[in-house]
Amino acid sequence: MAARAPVRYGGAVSTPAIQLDALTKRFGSRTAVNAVTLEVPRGCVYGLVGPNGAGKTTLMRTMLGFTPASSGSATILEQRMPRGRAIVYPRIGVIIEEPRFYPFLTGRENLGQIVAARPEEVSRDGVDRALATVDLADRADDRVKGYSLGMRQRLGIARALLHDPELLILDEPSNGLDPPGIRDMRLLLRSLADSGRTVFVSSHQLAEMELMCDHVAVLKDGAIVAEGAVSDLTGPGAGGDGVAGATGRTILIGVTDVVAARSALESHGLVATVVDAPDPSCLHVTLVADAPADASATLNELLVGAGVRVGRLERVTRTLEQRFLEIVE
Amino acid sequence: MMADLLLYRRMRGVFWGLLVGGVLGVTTLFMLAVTVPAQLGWYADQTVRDLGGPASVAGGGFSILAIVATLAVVILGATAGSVDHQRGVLRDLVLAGRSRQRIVLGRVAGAAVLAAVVLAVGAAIVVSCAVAMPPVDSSVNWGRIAHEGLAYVPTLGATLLFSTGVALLVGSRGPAIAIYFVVSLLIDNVLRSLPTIGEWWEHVSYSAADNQVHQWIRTSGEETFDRSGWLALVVLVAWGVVALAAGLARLSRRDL
Repeated sequence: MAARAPVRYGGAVSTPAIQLDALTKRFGSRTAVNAVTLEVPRGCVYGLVGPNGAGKTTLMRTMLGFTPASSGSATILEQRMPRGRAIVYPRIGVIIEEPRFYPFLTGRENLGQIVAARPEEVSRDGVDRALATVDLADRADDRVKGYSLGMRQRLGIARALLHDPELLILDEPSNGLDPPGIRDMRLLLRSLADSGRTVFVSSHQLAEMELMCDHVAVLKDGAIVAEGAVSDLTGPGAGGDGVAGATGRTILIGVTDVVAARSALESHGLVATVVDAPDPSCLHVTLVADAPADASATLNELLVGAGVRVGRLERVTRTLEQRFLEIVE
Repeated sequence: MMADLLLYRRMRGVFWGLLVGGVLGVTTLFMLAVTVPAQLGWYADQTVRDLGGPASVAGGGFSILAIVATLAVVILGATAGSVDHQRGVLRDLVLAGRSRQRIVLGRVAGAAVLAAVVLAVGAAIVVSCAVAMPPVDSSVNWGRIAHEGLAYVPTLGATLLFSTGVALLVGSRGPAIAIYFVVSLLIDNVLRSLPTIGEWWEHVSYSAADNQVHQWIRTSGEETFDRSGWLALVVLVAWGVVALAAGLARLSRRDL
């Protein structure tokens, strides 16, 4: 089956790096991946988040052809999987679950085993470059059995980067990394995306995902329950998907006279609800669904006109973590 | 091939413990224990006569080498068939663009080369001791010595393939080693001893084929040509090839 027609992303015409169409994986009566449909645009960092057991790893394994799909289809780099794996595998870098190595070999020798499988594509310089990229050059000649979890993780990234892949598929790449390592990982993946590569990454570190990803899909019980640009999920527009109520339409207003402010606000047409905030000098004001972008300024004028001094006025946004918890709980 | 050899070379237990210490060490100790006391006159005359000349001593040395080498080859074969899967690296090697079958066959080839080198060194130790310090000083029959040594080669080759195939089927080294010995030493001989099945099983028995091939190669050139030797060789090779083919088929369907 041929790949779908090209689609437009950010003005450029290109096919998605990953295209899943109702991809389903069942183990007996249990459905681990339930009709997942998504498209990963090229040149972005696309995050996959979900609670433990949501099916993130199974989704990755299934789309890569490591385990047969029960139904649906996966297309990677315009190749239908698993039929096109001989073409796709040399063009992608993958970490699924914890990266595994021969513990009795050094880090460099472990990468050498991969180089031996594709000598025409990876040189010795390529090994050195990959090791330097993950800051492991000085421990490259130590046996892997002496590596910490974070070092193994970095070696796994080096292995995935060996042949300069177009697409990286990484399952929890920050596992075991210390805070500087997590930051470096984020910067590395971000720079790879900025240079045109595509990164499809799953992680539990939602703050990192928020900083790193352009798009995020939330997986729960094997199905996608929310998906979109990170700014849409967390910013002022968040909640428009009906999942989390009025998240992006809420304004926190700090005033000198709460009673007078409440009285003025409740009768205004832009205001849907007014409730007390945890801070007794503040109110949470939820705007109506079709409130204009400058509604905050309008309310400020309203309160000043009513003789109420406004000390604080800010849009309430959610972090990705808050949105995630709202969605999955 | 170099990457495959490096893998075994870095397994200290397999390389230093099993191949160098086990195969070469035990063989060297045996040969020295036989030849040096005989040279020093520590044995009784009858014992020296029983030990015989170079070919006879070499035959004894080869039998010890073969016993230890069989254990080593079983472990090497089981390692070849399981190391990538058990270490969780098979997926990454497949992602590197090499087929699962090619990965395993590379490991088998590496194990075969390593085993061949170790066996060649072991054979050189046996022959050197047997020729340089024979208990009974007689002329060296190079043809007989060669036959004594080569008689074990088909068995060791089949053993390597058989244990690799079993490891691919079960996906783990330890159980594969155990299954090899249970099948070849126990089940095979039990089936041979059964009244009705035994007669039929004798034609395809691993140990029967092994014995026949061994005797055939040892005596070929000296005694009448035995046509059944070829058939036994086919049976022996078939054990290894069928097990390896079944293991590769299982591997191709295994989830990564």
